[in-house]
Amino acid sequence: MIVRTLYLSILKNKHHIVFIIFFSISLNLLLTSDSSPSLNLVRGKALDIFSFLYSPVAWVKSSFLLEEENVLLREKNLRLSLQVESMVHLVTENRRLESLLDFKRESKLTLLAAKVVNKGIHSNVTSLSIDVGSYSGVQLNNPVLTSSGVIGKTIFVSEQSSIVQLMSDLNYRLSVRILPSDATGILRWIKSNFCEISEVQKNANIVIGDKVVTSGFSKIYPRNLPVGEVIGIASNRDGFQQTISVQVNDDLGSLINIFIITDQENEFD
Amino acid sequence: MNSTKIFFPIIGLFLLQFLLSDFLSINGIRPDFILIYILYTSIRYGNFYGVIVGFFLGILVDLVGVGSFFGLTSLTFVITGYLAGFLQDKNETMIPAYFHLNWFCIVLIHFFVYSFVRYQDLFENNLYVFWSTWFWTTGYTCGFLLILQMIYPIQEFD
Repeated sequence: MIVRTLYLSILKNKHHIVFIIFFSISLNLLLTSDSSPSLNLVRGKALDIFSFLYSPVAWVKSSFLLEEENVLLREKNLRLSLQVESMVHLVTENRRLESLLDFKRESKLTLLAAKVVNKGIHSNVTSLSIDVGSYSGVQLNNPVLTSSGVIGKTIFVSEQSSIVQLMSDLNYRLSVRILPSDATGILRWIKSNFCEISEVQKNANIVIGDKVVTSGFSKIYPRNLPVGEVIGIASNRDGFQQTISVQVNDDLGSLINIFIITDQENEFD
Repeated sequence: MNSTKIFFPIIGLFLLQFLLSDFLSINGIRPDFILIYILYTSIRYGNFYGVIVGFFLGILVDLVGVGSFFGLTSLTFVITGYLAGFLQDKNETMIPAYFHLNWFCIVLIHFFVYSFVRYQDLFENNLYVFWSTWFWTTGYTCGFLLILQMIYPIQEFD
């Protein structure tokens, strides 16, 4: 009789019970997913499968954009050629000055080209999947950039695909330096392709248009990778710090090809 | 209930979201067709099925490739499925405006929970940007929901 009453009670409240069970599982996944190796294995396999499924769409999409990209690249090529011309003598002068200072810096970065396979299917773009994984030498926390600058880092690597955490992810922070003042701070995303640098000393001489690069303090990012440009400065009245608004170089929602720094040597001899 | 009536639309819907959402992306914001489906399914079949479908679709969405907060989508879909399920068979007994207000509030709650977890930093430091992100994310999906309302009203699905 008791069993029957219990059974009927469960049957009557099955929707509440199912809700509590699935709510708890979801909450548990949310809180513990980063530290679960078995879940990471499942995610890795799923990522490979979905990347494979999405590859025809990515191919069609990139074909559509190929012509437009070619025009842009030709234009950029011309601009860069002109820049190279003007920079050749600067390089020579720089080398001479470095040798004078007995200071030699070698920065060797191994770049791996990758194609964006998909950008997830969430309502907001905070990560993207790419078509290279551990087989190609990608590791966790490899910096990811485009020709314009840093866009994120790898946070999940399977055999043939990886997930890149974009700047637009809540958990993303980047230690940056503002040139030429050399002021440093922590960059975080705000909206679209706008970010903020907090914890910048108030007395740092920063003006709109200053370049923002990686500071090199982090073990993940080598220094002097381009990040963006200063577009606004706000001083905290009751503090010793100021907040700098930055426009990052890339539109994070329309990335197609990216580069991963798989190996970096940044030493001072 | 015929399980094929749920299973095949799920496959179709998932492919639709998986393959097309990127093309409909505006400034990094995409419509959430899966949420719309869960809302309709829960109102039609009740919160028991709504919760189950919501959970598994949420897991699937997260498996496609999410950087952080794995499990957040299933959590919000489970809440949506559960809440929307209470509107099953209520179309006849409720004032129409109240019925519509209810499911609309459920959509707002879904996106609030989603945005609150994903953008908690903005919630603490920049409320204006937080609310504008929430508004546009919600508004874009609601736009599609309103178009669907004109073609296939949710109260007729009930």
